[in-house]
Amino acid sequence: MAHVTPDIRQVLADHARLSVDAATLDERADLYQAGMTSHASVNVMLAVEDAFDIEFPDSMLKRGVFESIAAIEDAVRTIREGAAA
Amino acid sequence: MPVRVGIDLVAVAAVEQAFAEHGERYLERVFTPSERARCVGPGGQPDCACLAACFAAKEAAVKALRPPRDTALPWLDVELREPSPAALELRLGGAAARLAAAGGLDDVAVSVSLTRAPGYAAAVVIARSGA
Repeated sequence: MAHVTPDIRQVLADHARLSVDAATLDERADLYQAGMTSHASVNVMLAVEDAFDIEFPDSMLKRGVFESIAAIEDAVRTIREGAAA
Repeated sequence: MPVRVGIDLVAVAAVEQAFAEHGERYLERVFTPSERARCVGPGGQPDCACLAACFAAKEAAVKALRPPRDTALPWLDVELREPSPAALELRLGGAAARLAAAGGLDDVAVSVSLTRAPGYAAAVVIARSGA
C-alpha cells in the first residue's frame, strides 16, 4: 500500500499537529510521542475516513490503530478488504 | 484499594476547528446525545468550551482506565453528566465499564476545571475501588 502512504502523511500534516515533519517521519514512529494529542487523533481518524472513503468501526477505535503511519495503513487496508469481501 | 488518576488538557480552539472541518460527524462520533444537548451555545451552535471539557473528562477517564493498546474504547462509552450545576459525574458503558470492572474500579469520579482565559479545558479523573 505504498500509494496510500503519501495521503496518510498529508492527513497527518494537516490534522495531527505533530512536532515533527510528517513527510519524513518514519512509518513506524510513534505518533503520540511525536506530539499527536488524543483530540488530534479524532481529527486524524475523520480525515482518514474522508481521504479513503471508509469508516472506522467501533472495534477499531483503539490507540494502537492510530499510533503510527504503518498502523493506520494496516487499518485502512483491513477496512477496505472487509468492504470488498 | 487501587486508585488511578487520569488527566487531560484540550484546547477549545481544537474543538472549534474539528467542528468547522467535520461538522455533525465529529459531534456524533465523540459526544453522546446528552453531552451534545447540554453543550449548546447561543443560536444553537455547539458550545465548544463545554465540549472541550467533555472531551478532557473522557480522555482523563481513558487514562485512568488504562486500556491495552489493542483494546477498543469508543469515545461514546464514557459520558460526562451534569446532574446538577454543582456536580459532574461519569457514566461508563460498554468497553469502559468492562475495563473498570476488570480493574476493580467501581467508583470513578471526575473533577473538571475549565480555564477560559487561555482557551483550554482540563479534567482530572480519579478511579478507585469503593471497597
